[in-house]
Amino acid sequence: MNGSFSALGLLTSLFLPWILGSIWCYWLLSKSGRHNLFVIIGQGYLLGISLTALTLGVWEFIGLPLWFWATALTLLGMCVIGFFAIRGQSTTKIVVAKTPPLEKWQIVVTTFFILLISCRYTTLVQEITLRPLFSWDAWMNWSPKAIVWFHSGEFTPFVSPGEWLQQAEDTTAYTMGARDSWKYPATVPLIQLWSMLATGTSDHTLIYLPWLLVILALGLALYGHLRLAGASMPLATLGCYALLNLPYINVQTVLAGYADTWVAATFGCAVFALHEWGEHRQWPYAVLSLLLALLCTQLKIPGLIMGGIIVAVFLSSIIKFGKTSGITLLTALVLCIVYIAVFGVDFSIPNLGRIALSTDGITVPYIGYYELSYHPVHHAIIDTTLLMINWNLLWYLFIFLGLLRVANGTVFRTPSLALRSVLLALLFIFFVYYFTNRYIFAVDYTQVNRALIYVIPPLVFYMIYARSTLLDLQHKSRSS
Amino acid sequence: MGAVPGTQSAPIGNVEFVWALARALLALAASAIFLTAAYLTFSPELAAYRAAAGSDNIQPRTIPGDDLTIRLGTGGTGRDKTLHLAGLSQDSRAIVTRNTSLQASDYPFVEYTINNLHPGAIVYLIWKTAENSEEISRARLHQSGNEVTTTCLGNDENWIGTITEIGFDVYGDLRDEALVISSLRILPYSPATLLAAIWSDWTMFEAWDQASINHLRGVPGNAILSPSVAIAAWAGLALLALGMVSLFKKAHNPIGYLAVIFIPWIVLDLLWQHRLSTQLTETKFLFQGKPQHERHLADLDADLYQYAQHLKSEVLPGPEARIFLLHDDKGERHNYRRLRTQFHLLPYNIYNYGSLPPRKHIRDGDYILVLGSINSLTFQSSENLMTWGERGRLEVEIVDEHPVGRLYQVGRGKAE
Repeated sequence: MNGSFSALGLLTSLFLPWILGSIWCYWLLSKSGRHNLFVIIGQGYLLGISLTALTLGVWEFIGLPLWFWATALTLLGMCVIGFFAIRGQSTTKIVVAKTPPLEKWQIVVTTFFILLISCRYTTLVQEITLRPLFSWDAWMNWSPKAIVWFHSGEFTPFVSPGEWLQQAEDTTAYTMGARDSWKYPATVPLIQLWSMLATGTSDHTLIYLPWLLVILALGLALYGHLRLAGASMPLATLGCYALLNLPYINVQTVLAGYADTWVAATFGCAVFALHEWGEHRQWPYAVLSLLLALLCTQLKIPGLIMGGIIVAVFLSSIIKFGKTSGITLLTALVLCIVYIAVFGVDFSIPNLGRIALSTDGITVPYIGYYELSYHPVHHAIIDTTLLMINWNLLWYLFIFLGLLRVANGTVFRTPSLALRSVLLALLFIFFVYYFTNRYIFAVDYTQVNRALIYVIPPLVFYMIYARSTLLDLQHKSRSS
Repeated sequence: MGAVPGTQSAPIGNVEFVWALARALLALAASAIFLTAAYLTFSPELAAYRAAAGSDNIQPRTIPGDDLTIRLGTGGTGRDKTLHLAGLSQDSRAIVTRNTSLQASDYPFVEYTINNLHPGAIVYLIWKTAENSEEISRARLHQSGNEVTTTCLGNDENWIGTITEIGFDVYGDLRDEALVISSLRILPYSPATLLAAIWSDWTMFEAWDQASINHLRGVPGNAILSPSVAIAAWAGLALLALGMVSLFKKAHNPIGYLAVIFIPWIVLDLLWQHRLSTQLTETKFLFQGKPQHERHLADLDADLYQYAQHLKSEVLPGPEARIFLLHDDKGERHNYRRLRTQFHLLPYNIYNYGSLPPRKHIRDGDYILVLGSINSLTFQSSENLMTWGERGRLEVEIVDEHPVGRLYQVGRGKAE
């Protein structure tokens, strides 16, 4: 099925989902009266890509052949519908922050950071477009499904190695070289398939340009949300620089093909939207964050947890606890933990699977069984966050801000929704590496950064947003 | 349009910004001077090098390139006392050395000046000692940002005793360009040498490998000092200094705080950019201007790619064929070659587990691809029989033989 390379197809595949997502994102967020162009196109990319993957899935479900231009036409139709939906809805007054005119230094600083970002991404785009698919999981876990689907022109099933051996002669199913990857969610292979169908080949460096676009979209969303949250232009640009130029973010972009970038961007954008919901109670942002939580679950198995965190934090924002109900809930939680620790629980949910929790291990549907025991992985965690160059000075800054919160007594304040999401995600990551047999992937550094990357976008957002902790000292001292 | 009150405070003026930036730079300069002096004075490793040295007046030893003798490979001397290493031996190797006599403990550092060093050529420093004259010790030398690179051998367990012979061992590919070795200097401890070695560590280059996607050390494994730690300390001390001064003057300026955090951040970022730019030069050398097929041929796994292409285009029928890929992983946890071969063979339908055929699941017409050699698996060509263990037998026909692997097709009537 490898034919001549289609540049028009490539451009269409890159920008049509973006336009589609931006249109529907605008349709949704314009109801809130709080949005800007950067939020729309940043969040829009992820919405557009998920709609594209969904369309491919529906296309196959109704039995139509995988033909790029027909799918593109469907997306175009959805764009037109979105356009008319926008025209048809009543206009909501846009609330904008009153911004004083920029000083010259602000323009210089903003330009400087934009130049640093541009320089970095000029390097990265060349690297992506030159190097054939390189990174391990990309070719072992994520691209094989897309390649097979592209060549067969249909969604040939992937099964476990055991099932593959048992399959009847009249069936065709594939299995993967890594034992569990056959059951990984299909969204990332669908993103690759979309590019392959567009370009007419399964073997080209440009197929992986969405790995660049998703990070750029994440940067735009971060900038837009920081501006919505009241950050000045230089500060919001600084936030983008701090995120987009992180070495580990760059390496996940340039050695494209892993799912982690997508989980990080989706979780990040969901937290940005959740923050906006928490601060201004505009329901379109709640809807957006829940949609992105759903997308998280379709990207990678740990995405189930990250999506769950978004839902949990959202629920925590709508359920108001009084003192009595709070204490009751806490007591109930403690009693549950004690019960699980002493007796354990083990039950099955029809169509979902077995759930078993005890001090020996955890069994959760889709995620599997994890033996529980303590593993001291501090050395690896410290190495990867503080000694290696993965995260520049980000974790030092996070620790510093934490200490500052302790020092100024704000540590006991109810954390914002963004901070809640970051802390829950960190709690999950540290629990996995300290208490389950996956600790080996922290010790050998094969996974720990790929898990930490999920919290990085909301962490950067939180740190820039929490600048008030640091920067408002000035105003205090001035006013005194 | 409505407005959100109070979300934007009045901006800092241009003059105030310049003053804040100047104060931040001053704090950073003071922090850098203080930390460097403290490190050079109190570092326990350096104290150990000083203590190990025989005297305080040890002179550096300089070996010009043309003083090195080519033991393996080809080349000759050039202008300015250089040695031009123009070719490798048949096993892609070159060795250049010179006899010497020096105490390793007196010389914890080595400085080498090599032009045209690139990731294709893997260079080791090699040496022999009087105490163990039969054994050759070696330390990997990396390409750094400069032609002159300093490395610390003081923490190498084999850099002990009396060094009797020293030189370079080169592997890989010279890429049609001679390595020009200008000099090899063996250096005693000095603060300047130490700082040069740290800088070389920080600017060294290692091309992408399969671990790059998982973590980025940023420095070689034996680096003296992590750049992240050093730069964080630099920013932290400057922040503390600025905070103290601001507290004393009761005038906090957020620009100053941000500057003492983000100027060091940018420095670390520029080191990373340097590495990315060097990588890009290497990537361009390998892949630029080539169609996708030739890019694969220039890649690390070209042999597997070529083999897969050969099978797909010349040997195998359509992708509906089922292939059992067998490989002896010899206990390796990650098995690059079997997984990479499977990838290159896509969209063929491959079962890729184990080193022996899962006999009862194999059908007539299936293919068995044996990658490399598997000791416990034999093929008797006279009987068209693949055998393993005590009872494993399968009637197969050999379809293709290649240095990378052998492809068999399961014949009619499987034996036992």
